[in-house]
Amino acid sequence: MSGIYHVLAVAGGLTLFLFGLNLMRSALIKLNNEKLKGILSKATGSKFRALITGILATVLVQSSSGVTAISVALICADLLTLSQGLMIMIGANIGTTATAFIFTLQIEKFSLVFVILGYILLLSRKERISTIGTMIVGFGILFLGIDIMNAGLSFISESRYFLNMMLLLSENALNSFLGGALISALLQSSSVTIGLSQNLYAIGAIGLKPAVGIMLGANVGTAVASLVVAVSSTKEAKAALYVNVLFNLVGGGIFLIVISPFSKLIALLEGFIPNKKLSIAYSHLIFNVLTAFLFFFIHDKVVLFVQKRLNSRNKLTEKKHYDMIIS
Amino acid sequence: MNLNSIFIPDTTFAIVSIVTGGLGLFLYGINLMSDSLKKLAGSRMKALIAKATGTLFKGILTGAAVTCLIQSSSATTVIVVGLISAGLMTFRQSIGVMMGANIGTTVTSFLIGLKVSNYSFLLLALGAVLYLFFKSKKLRESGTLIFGFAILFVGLELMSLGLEPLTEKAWFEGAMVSLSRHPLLGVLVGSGLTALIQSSSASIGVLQQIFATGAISLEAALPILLGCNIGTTVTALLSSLGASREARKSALFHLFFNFFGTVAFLILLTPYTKLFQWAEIFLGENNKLTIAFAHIFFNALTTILFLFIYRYLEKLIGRIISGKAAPSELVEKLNESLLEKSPVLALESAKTQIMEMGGFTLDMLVSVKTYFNEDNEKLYQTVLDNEEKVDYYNHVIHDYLLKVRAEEANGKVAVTQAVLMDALQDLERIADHCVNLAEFFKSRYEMKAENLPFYSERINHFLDRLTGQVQDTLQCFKTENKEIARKVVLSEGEIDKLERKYRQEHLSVIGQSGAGAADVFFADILSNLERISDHCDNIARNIIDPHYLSQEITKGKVFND
Repeated sequence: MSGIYHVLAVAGGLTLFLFGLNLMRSALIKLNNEKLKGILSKATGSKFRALITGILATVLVQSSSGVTAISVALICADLLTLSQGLMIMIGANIGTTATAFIFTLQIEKFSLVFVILGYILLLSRKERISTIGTMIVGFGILFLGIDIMNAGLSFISESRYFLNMMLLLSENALNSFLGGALISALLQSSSVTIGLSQNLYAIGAIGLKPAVGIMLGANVGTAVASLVVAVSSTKEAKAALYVNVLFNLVGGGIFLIVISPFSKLIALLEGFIPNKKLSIAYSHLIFNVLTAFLFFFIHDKVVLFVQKRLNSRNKLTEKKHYDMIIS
Repeated sequence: MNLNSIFIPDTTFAIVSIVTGGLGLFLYGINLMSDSLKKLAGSRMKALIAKATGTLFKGILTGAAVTCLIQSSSATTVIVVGLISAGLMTFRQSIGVMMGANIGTTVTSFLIGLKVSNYSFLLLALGAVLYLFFKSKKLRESGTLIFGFAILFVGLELMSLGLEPLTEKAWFEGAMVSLSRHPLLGVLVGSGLTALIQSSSASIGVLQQIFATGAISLEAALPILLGCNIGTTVTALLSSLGASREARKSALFHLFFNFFGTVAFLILLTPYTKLFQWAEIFLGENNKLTIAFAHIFFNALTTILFLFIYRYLEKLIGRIISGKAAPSELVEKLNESLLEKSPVLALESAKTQIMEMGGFTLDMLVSVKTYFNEDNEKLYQTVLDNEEKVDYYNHVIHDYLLKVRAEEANGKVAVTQAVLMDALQDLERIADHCVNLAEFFKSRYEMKAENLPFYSERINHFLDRLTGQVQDTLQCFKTENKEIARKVVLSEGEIDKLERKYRQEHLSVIGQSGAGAADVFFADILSNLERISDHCDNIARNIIDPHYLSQEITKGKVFND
């Protein structure tokens, strides 16, 4: 019974973590929604500017999928070009790494203080203040979830099943990669998956390499999940989403190949700053910055290629649409 | 593993943060739970309360049932105040509901009395699974509900964890002793706390938790419990501040009801305490359920007591908030004495009210159109609120019209009476079709159906034509202008043709690109739109020839669904 109880504590903690994160995000998006649309639609100009805009916007609302969804909507409304939209999505990939840094904060007992402070603000009649309250409650619940999850993990970390599962996960890089992708697709959140990998690594349940593998997988998983938005979008926006997924897959693949030297590099960094959670946050940042860098150079060619294909298909579909109207 | 392996109440800071943080989680959980319950129940609760206008007993049952379902007596009383302000309910009709709300709210304390703490993590996970993996809005909302319920218990557990070391402190014990010596102090504490957090369920939950740790004796707990019942009336009082006189009366009734109940129980505090001390023998010491039973005992007994004396209280309140007891604005406008004096004038005033009701119907159609183009839950709510008003008007005006006595069987009065009856029914049916439309549009949003320009153009065009037609219909009904009435009849013919054309186009879309490319609701939406036009036609034809309906009925031609 007590074994099951601890597993439940891990699951419950994970849920609180996820719920807190969602609460914080939706409050942040509500606070910044109008501002965000303004910022994003003004991200005209150079590729680089669009990239920076994507990063800033994502740091602001703590949600890459939120920013991706908004940029898709803006592409649909012709307020952004395909090229700008793509750069914003790549920027969102970098911006989302900020979340993993937040998870490394050591607020432990203060989590409950955040809950009560937030709740008091939440009672305010002013909508803005009550939204800020919701955000703080979410922040507190998030860390409460991390604490409960960790306590549960430390209890079950000696059980045979758990060890076997971790062994399976760390057997090779592909396993941890697939594991990460699966978990983040299941929980529909790469951040929580990365948080989980940070904690597993911090308590010593898995090594650095599998932790990095999970992180890489989480990135791909969330990109695939973003395809949900594609269902009701224009062809241009769909194309942008597909490129984003492809880009994450290729980037993840490349890093999977060089995972050993990459982990060594991170281990080196850990020598300077001995904080295990922070190491995963670094690796997440480095991965996304490097792949963005890569994309920056092939960006023009990709856009050209996609546009060419779209044009040839557009002629066909336009005709079909016309047929439907006159009939 | 327990929460006490994570949170150790060793320092003062830790104790304060654990207790207050636990309180925050608990309150947040209650909020989450009652929000999702309200969303799940939708406007059905409001409609249910609005219909509880019959006997006092029916009101009590409805009040209790609704409060059980939405887990908040404040929410119920606020709905009641809103209904009275809207003229959909009278103060007298609300008395039963207010009494019932007090009984219903005790369910929460029984829920809190459950020993689920070991399963709270299971509930958390279960809620999340429902929320994450299901597309259906209902299931997701149920997930949030379960999640809120679990958070509530995590919060309670944390609170008792932090309270434990407090109970050994001398000052805390001192405070508890003085509370048990001065019952009035307890009442004040209970009402103050409840007024602050605006939820008696929450403050009683906290009380139960403190009681379970053994920090507070039954003698001290019961007066606080009584105070909580007074504190909860603040919410309705606050929401009635800007409302009508009738609404304020109702909120005041809620306060007096709980206040006098508390006074009665304070007088009988010793036997009340003795009774539950005796009950503790069966329930075990420091059982949360003891408080729950004491809570329901208080509310049930007060309600029974008031069954005998509520009329006096009603009179007392009538004296405090003066002004004549207006049953409802509408009933007041439809003057009963006119029925005897002048049937013609009575019909005239009924007609004015039917026009008013027609205005609501038109509003509904306009809101339906806006809702079609903009996914805004508020618009949907506006449609439902208007439907409630239309139903109420229909009901009251119908009863009034029936009382008009025509002297001749086929005289002017009798004919006008029939025309008004028909118009009333037609307008009510139009409102029903508007609700159907709003529901179709809502399902479209829920299914995230793609908004194809092909369909939205046609539906918008259709809605525009109908809005014009309904406006004309109301105009010709008001002025009895036959010219406008003919226009309405002509336009009905065109709308019929339009409907047939759209239907064929819709079929050809399905034929060409398969059913997947077509709007699944289009056919249903079309038939509802077309029927609205039919009802306009009925009204207009009656204006052109008041004997129209009676002739057509014999031929079996009239459209009536």
